[in-house]
Amino acid sequence: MMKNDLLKKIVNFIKVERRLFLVAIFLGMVFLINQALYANHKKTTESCAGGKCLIVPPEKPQLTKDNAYYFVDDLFKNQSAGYYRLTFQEKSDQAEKIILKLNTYTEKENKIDELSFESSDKFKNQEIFFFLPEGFDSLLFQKENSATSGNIFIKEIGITKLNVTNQSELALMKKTVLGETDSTAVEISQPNSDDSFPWLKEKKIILGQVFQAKEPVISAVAFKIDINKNLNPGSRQYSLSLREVKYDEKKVSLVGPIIVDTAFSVGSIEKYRQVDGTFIFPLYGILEKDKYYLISLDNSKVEVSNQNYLEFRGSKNNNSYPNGSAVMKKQKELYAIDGDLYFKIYGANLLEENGIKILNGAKIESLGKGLGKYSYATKGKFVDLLDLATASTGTEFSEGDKIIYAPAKDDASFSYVVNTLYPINKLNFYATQNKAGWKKVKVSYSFDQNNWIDLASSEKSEAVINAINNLAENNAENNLDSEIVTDDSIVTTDDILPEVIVQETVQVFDAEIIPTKEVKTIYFKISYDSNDASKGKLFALKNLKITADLNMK
Amino acid sequence: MLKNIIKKISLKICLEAILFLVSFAMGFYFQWEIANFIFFVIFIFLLLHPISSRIVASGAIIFLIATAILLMAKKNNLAEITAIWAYYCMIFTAVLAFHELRLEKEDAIIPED
Repeated sequence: MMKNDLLKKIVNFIKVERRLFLVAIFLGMVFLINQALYANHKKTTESCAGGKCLIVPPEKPQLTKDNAYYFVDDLFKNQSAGYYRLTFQEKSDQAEKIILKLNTYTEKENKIDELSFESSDKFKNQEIFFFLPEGFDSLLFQKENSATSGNIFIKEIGITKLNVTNQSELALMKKTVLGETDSTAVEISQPNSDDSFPWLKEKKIILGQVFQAKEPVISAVAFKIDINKNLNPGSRQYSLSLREVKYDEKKVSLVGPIIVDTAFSVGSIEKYRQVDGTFIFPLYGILEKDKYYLISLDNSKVEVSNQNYLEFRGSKNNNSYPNGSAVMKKQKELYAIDGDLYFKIYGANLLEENGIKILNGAKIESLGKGLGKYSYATKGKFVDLLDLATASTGTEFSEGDKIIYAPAKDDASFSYVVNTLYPINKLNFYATQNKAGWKKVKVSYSFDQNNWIDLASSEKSEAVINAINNLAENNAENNLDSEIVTDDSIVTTDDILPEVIVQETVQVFDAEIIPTKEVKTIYFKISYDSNDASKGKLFALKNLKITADLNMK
Repeated sequence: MLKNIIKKISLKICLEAILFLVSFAMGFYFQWEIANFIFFVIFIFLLLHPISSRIVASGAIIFLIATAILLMAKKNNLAEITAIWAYYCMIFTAVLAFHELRLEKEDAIIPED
């Protein structure tokens, strides 16, 4: 009876005060949702080692222990018989031998070469000259010994028909030279990562590492960062920046503006993750040897908390990197803290051919019958800065316009040295002024750096030039998947509709230089036209392309 | 009778106090932002002691106007915060309006004697 009364009272209370119970249920739901969504999830370098956290799965090898054949179908479809150049990139995780064969669907084969691949973690360029008889349409890469366990990666396969008619002419073909930048060399590092630097959990903190530059260029920086994040870490971005500092043991002060920076959110940081679990952030910047620089992460735009922050790894030992220190900025005060972050600074060097520097991306290729071709074009990326031989103060790369620019004052200029390795028959220099309203550009060239000759320019509608560039870019993108490079991507003013033509004009440099003596090097100086009375404060060239016909006999 | 009422009120107050304590504990446990935490406690209070939805709706309008002004002043970060507050107020308004609608329906059912 007593029990029934109590039960009735409780039921009655719930009926009268049901709101209280609804709120209790609501609180319970909020707790469960928060526990599921916002509970701490930590990703460490160690837990991500072995490629476990990579967003893009690592590419698969074309030749493995289980697959000793790799066919490139239809590579020679619609190609006539004759002499060809085959180019591709390869890397192998152990020394391997492969056989290259021409192939058809009827399984007819014709061996063209045998190649030895060395063990390497970098792709290497390969080039083979061969004769293509009638009746073949595919290329076969075959392991010489199918029992070997090496993994071979093959990509960027391309063919070019040669202006060669017999074997004696083929024997005179020269190996193609490609200008490349090596940005894999670690210049400075602090490899100890036993300790954590969790200070970015506090708001408005800048945490970074001071280092002393050994090389004039930085191309990337590696850090070990543990990620503490809940399921809703937000999309606000951390800013990673490089700037010069004055550093003297415990005193640190900033000098000048940010040299280069990049931004990422906790959600997008994984694109920088490497197979070993570390992060490599591309950060191209020009440094001065022996000066001190700070690479730091700024969390001031991010909603950080104890469950949502990035945690640098490093060493609390001050001697782990003697030429710098971990640095923190809190409430406008910048100071060195105990220890050093784990870091690797990557440099960037133009590769040399017989001691001669070739511009990054430049190609020197033999066409047969003693003729060759040189081609170089700017890429619209920061790496273009590395191609400059000299640059006056203030010369920088603009991420927005994708150009190298300099302030038009005093004797500002920047220059290129074009080494072609072989005598130049004829060279073409093409570029346009970046924008109407910018200071007019003066381009001079010289064979000896003493006698400079100005290149003539014409004026063309800016809209037409932009439309040509856009069409050319689109065509280039469309051709990316193509195995064979053709000249169809060349766009002329005839392709542009008349309605885009407006009055604003820009300079167009499209000049031919024919040396009167044997010349393998031409110097180009880009400066501004001091007679230009416009109010433009900057000058720059856009879409620089240099091509040359070479004498390769 | 009075004793019973006092007993009932005491129990209600006790339970409400427990609910608020739980709310505080959750705020600390999940480390909510102070503003989010305050809005959460206000929401719990409004669930337990509903007020006119028009009052809360006016709060939403004030925050929306503040957002527009802050955007014009290019104070984007602050504008983002006030927009979130306006959103909170609109949720409160919707919940309170739903409650008022239920009350109106209950009042409309007049027993025929």
